[in-house]
Amino acid sequence: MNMKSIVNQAKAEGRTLLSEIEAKEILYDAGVPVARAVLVTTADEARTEADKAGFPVVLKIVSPDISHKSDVGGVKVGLANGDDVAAAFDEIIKNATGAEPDAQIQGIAVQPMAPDGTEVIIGMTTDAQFGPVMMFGLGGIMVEVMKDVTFRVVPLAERDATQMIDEIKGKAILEGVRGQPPGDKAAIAQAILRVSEFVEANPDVQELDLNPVLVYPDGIIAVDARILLAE
Amino acid sequence: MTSEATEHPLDPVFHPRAVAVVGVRSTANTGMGSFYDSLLETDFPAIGGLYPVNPKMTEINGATCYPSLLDTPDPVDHVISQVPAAAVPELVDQCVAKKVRSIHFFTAGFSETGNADMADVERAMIDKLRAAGIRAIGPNCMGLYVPQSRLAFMNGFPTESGDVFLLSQSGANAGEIVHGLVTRGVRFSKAVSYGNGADLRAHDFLDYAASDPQSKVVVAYIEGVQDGRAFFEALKRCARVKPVIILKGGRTQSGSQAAHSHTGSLAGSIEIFDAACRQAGAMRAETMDELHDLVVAAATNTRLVTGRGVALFGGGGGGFAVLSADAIDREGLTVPKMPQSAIDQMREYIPVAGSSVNNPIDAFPPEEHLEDMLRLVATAQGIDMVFMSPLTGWPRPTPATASNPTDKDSDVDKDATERATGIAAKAAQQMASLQTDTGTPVIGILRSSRMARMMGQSRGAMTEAAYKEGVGVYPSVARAARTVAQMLDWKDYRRGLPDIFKVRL
Repeated sequence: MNMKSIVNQAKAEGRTLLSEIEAKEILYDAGVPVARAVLVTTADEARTEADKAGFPVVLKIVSPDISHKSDVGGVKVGLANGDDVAAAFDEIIKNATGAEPDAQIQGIAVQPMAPDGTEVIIGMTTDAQFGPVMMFGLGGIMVEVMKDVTFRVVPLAERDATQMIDEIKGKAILEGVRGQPPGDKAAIAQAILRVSEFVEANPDVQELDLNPVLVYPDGIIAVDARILLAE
Repeated sequence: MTSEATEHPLDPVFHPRAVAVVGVRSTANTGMGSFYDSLLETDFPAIGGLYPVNPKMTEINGATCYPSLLDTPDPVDHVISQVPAAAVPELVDQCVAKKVRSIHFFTAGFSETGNADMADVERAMIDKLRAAGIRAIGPNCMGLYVPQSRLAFMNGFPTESGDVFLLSQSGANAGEIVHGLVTRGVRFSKAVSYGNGADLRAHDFLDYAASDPQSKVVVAYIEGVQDGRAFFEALKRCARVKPVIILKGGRTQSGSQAAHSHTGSLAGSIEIFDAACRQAGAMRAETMDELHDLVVAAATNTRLVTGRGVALFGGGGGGFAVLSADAIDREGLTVPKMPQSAIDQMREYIPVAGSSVNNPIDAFPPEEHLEDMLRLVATAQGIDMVFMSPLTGWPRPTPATASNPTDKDSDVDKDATERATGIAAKAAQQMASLQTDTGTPVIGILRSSRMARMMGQSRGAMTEAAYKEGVGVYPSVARAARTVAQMLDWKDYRRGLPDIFKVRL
């Protein structure tokens, strides 16, 4: 599936919000490191895909009507074997239909579970004056409460991406505190640049969140992705 | 000047050879100056035709007042419109017939009112002017101040040219910036207040400033950006090659209400404006005071500061030294201790107990040793700049002023004022030569001491004289420290762009 066909399909269905699976596929094609997910519609399929992905895995509800997946019991993490995966599949469907009986459910996303890392957010939004802008910040509580984020106008040069990472107040966390190894800032900068290039080439994209992106000493991976298209 | 070869399309706008003021007011019955008065004050008629136009008058201040623009002699390059909004469409037709090059609409009452009909009128008149190749400034603005072309939009603007270019969306703030910076010694190459920016707007003027050889520092007051992409591109071009300082008025609510993403909800307009400035390599001032300080910094040798070590020189007492050191520390600068060898040397000049020759150097040596001592301080290890408040410590007050301290500078006896002004010039010279001899930037500080107050007028004289010598003078240690810290931050985030600060202006 390329960007164009995904966008066309979403538009045909009257959607502006791409599914997590769609968003990840097109970002993967754009060179952004994402934890790719596969859509399954039965417990048996979930088992098969989990085997392929390698344990442990994460299962997440896929529905255009449910945007806060954990709130409805739509996410199960750390599933270590096929039986757990099958049981989790049934439970997520039960939880989601219980919480949102009218929601249209497309299935469940299976993805390998990424090991713990430092959480950051890479995002893009459309500013009324300047058009597309990129955002970077520390994830989790740092973005929610501290709003410790920086912005740049698209298109970004390499120095812009590097400076975004250095400008956040909590950058010491990425540089390794209390004996932690430093995070891979170069990989973050590259991901910011790939997303900048992606949104520059795709003016249909109105907003984009990679949240969280997990940062390791060697490499990064975006475990969730949202893309909102312009009306 | 080689500008003839590479004339910018806007050059004619800044250099009119004849000006008509249409709807000129009789100044007799207003307390305020007018555009016409300002052009008489700058003696525009010495270099070009100045034609007042108003059908209700036949003469103004003894000069012929023409009934219409079409009745004025040819050519008219630039028109200043003071007519009511309702009369503008007719004036636009006359401008086209007269083949003028540019028009400045002081006239207000168009798109800025929020009235859709008047916004349409504005668009229509701009379309007509553009079709005729006429550029427009405004509506709703003060227009041009170009000392070299003898244009001024307010009374009391210096006729002397300088190297700072100003663009301002607001006329009142344009006046604030010009008058405020003039007292700091700054002179302007060109200033433009462009109001609604219906035709020429921020990006046009940034583009012009980037290529104008007379403009070395660019300063802008901006409220809203009409064409964000064009503005950003022009800002990048200009800030790449010149220091650009921007004060943004009108902070709006953080975050878009309609945002569906984290990113959208966190992206406030001021954060993004700030990011665009940093990305372009420009500096954003948060207040008018900061704008003044940063322009002084960018136009003087404050721009040469590369490290954080401050030597604070000039008596004032222990408490002043303590607070000053705190203010410097708060901005991430340091007040390094003097090396022992320097302390020993200084003790020979100042054996007085109670003074400090460490750092801050809270002591004034006898005048014959002052230069040696300053040199010692400026070249000491770890010192990147000298903060100096020279209008303290001397001269000794005359018996009259000493016995009769006054609350008003104006009450200071004339003799003391004259001496003080002489001392101010000498102090400016001293700071400049210290800077030249040692290569260490000197930052002048105005003190609020009794001595400084007694020498009220000399503070201004010293500030202006020092500026001419490339020494920036700031109203307090705290503001000087903040400005230096901002300069260092500015240089830091400009990494990867051309080093525009390494040479003195």
